[in-house]
Amino acid sequence: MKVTAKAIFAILFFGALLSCETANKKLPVLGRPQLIEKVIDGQTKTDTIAHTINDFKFLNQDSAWVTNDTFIDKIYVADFFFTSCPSICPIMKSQLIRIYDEFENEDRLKLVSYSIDPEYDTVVVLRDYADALGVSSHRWHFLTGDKNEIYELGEISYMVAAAEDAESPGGFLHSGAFLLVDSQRRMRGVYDGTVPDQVDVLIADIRILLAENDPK
Amino acid sequence: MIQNNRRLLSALFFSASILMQCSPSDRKPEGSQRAEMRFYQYYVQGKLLYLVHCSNCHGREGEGLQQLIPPLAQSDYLLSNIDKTVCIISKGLNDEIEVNGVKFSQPMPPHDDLRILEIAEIITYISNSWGASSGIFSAKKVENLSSACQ
Repeated sequence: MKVTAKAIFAILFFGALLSCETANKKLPVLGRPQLIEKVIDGQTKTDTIAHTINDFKFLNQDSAWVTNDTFIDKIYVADFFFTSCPSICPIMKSQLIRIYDEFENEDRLKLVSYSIDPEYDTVVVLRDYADALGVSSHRWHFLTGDKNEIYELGEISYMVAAAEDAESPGGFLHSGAFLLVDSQRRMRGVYDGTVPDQVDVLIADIRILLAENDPK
Repeated sequence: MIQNNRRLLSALFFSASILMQCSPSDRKPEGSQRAEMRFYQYYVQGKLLYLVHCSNCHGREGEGLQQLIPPLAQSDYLLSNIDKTVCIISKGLNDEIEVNGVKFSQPMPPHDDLRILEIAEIITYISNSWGASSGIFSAKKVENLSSACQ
């Protein structure tokens, strides 16, 4: 009898451990995957390719080029903003500063803020803006470049709204989303950057994603 | 007749005593109560307007944002330039200013959609919050000052 009781206890114990294991959150891969048919050894096979961030090349506040290659072996949080934005941007920036401070010693995490008013937000304007926020280009890139390319990248790759709109405060319409991108250019999370509770979730998810990339 | 006169006199006396109660010396506490009510009306309304029109940039607690957007809480600039805020709110600000020893040069956009009373309520709120108590900033004052805005 004793042995059975022990066995039951052991089963329950390891069962509980296993359920803890499975309860560990794994971040989804977002976006519509592409199905590609391949012919291998005369047989047709379908391959699923995840949605990824398209190639881009923009200048940051140091006048240095930033591309997908800048983030090899890194993960990053992206957002869309403009420096003269009177509406949600200051809240978004104060929330990004929370993330910046939270991961002060984490070299594998970067922040990327795309300007949707790149004609006004030149390298010099972005430089002043970054300086006023007191943040380093080593960890936080503010990007400017061709306006339409930025809008297209926002809509197609990051799946967020970004456009000129006379009706919106400051003349631009944009989402307040923060986007979490993994080291393979895949979107792993979307968060409302104007809501502190959502940013708490993002901070937790960043830890999960960093752990995922850890060599086991 | 005498009877009538007496009645008239007592009626006069009675109404005089009622009038006495409304004499200026007696009205004073009632007046200050009204002023206090008016202050709270301005303050409460000002807080609501602040949360809609100002807090996105200046922060819910007037804390500002790094060296980009100046704080309003404990701001030496605000408290020594309260009259100036009328034009700053309605017309925006492009000049560099120094707040608590820190220079700020990010332009502030105009808020010309705000009415005179609304500006008065906002100024009353920000100049009586976060440790400051400058009293009511009346709509009349805003009206007088705003004519000089450029």
